[in-house]
Amino acid sequence: MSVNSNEQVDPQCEHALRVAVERVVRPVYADEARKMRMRNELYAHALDAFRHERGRGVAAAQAIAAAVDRLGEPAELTAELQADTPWGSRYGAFIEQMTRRKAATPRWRFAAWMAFIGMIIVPGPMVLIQLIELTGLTRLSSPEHSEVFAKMMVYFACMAASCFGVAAYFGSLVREELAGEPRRRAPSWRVVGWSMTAGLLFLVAGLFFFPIVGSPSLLWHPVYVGCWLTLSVLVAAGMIFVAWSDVRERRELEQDWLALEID
Amino acid sequence: MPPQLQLTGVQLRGHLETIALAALEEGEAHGFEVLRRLEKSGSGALKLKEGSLYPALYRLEERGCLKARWEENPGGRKGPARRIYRLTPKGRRQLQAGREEWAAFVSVIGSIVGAPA
Repeated sequence: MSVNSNEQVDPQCEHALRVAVERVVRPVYADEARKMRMRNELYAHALDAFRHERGRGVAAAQAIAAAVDRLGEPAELTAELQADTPWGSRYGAFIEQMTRRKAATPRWRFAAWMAFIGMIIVPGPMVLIQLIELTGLTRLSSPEHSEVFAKMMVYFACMAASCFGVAAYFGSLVREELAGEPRRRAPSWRVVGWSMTAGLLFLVAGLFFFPIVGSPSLLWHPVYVGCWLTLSVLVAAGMIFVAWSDVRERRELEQDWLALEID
Repeated sequence: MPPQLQLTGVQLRGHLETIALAALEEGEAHGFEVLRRLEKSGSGALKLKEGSLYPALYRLEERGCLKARWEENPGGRKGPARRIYRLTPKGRRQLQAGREEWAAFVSVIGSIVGAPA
C-alpha cells in the first residue's frame, strides 16, 4: 500500500471524504472531544486510502468512491462506534446538549435554564442526604447539625443558581465577542469587562446570600471578603479561559465539520 | 492464494482485536499502517472494512492494551494528524492470550468440521 502523503488533494475531493466521515460520526452519541478524535482519525484514514487509490492510477472520482467503500457501510460503522462509546462520554454528550445555547434561544432564557440546572446539580447530593435522613432509616447528623445542613443547602442552591446563571449570560456574551474576532491574539477590553462583571456579580451573590448561613455581622470580616474577592478574580479569569478554548474548538467544529451537509 | 474474505467488524469482533495487536507487535503505527501490515501478512486474502479497525483500537486503548498519541511531526505530510498506537505490556499479554485462544479454537472446530489444523 504505497501512499504519497505529500500529494495535494483537490478541495472537492477533501470535501467528499469529509462528508463521508461526517455521515459516520455525526449520529454517534458521544461527547464532542471524542467525536473530533473519530473525525480526525477516519478522515486521515480516508485521505490515505484516497491517495493510495490515486497512486494506483485510479481517477479521482473512482478513488473517492473506493476510499469511502473501504471505510465500510456508514450505518454499520456508526453502530460499532456507538457500541464502544463509554457511559462517561454519553453523559458528557448529555451535559453538552443541556448546556449549549441554541442560536434562537434568548440569552436571558439560557441563563435562567442554566441557573435552574446549577440549583439542581450543585446541592443535589445534599438534598439526597436530607431525604435519607427524613426517612428515619439512618441519622447522619444531630438535629442541630441538620439545621445547619439545611441552611447550607439553601445557600449552595442560591449560589449555584447565581453563578451558573451569571456565567451562562456573560459567558455567551464573551463567546460571541470572541467568535467575531477570529484572528485576535488577546481578548478585547469588552471581553475582559464582561468577565470582570461576572466575577463581581459572583462576589455580590456571595455577600448577598451570606446571611442565610452566618450572622450578618461577620459579613464584612476581611477573611471572608478576601476569600470572595479571590474567588471572583478566579471566576473572571476562568471564564475568559473557558470561553476562549470553547470558541476555538467550536470554530474548528463549525467551520470544518458541523457545516457539512450530509444528507 | 486463499479465497478472498470480506470480513466486517461484526464478524471479526473478538478476533479483530488480536489481529490488531499482532500487527502492532512489529512496532507503533497509525491505523492505515496497521491495515497495510495486515494486508501484507495476510497476502492480500483478508479484506476487512477498514473503518471497523478504529472501534477495535479504541476498545484496546480503553482497556490499557494500547497507548496512543497524536502524530507530532507529520514531516511535511499534508492533511490531518494521525494517531499513533503502540502495544503496552498488558497488550502483549492480551496478544499472547489471544493466540492461545485462537489455537484452541482452530483445533476444536477443525476436528469437528474434519479439517484439523
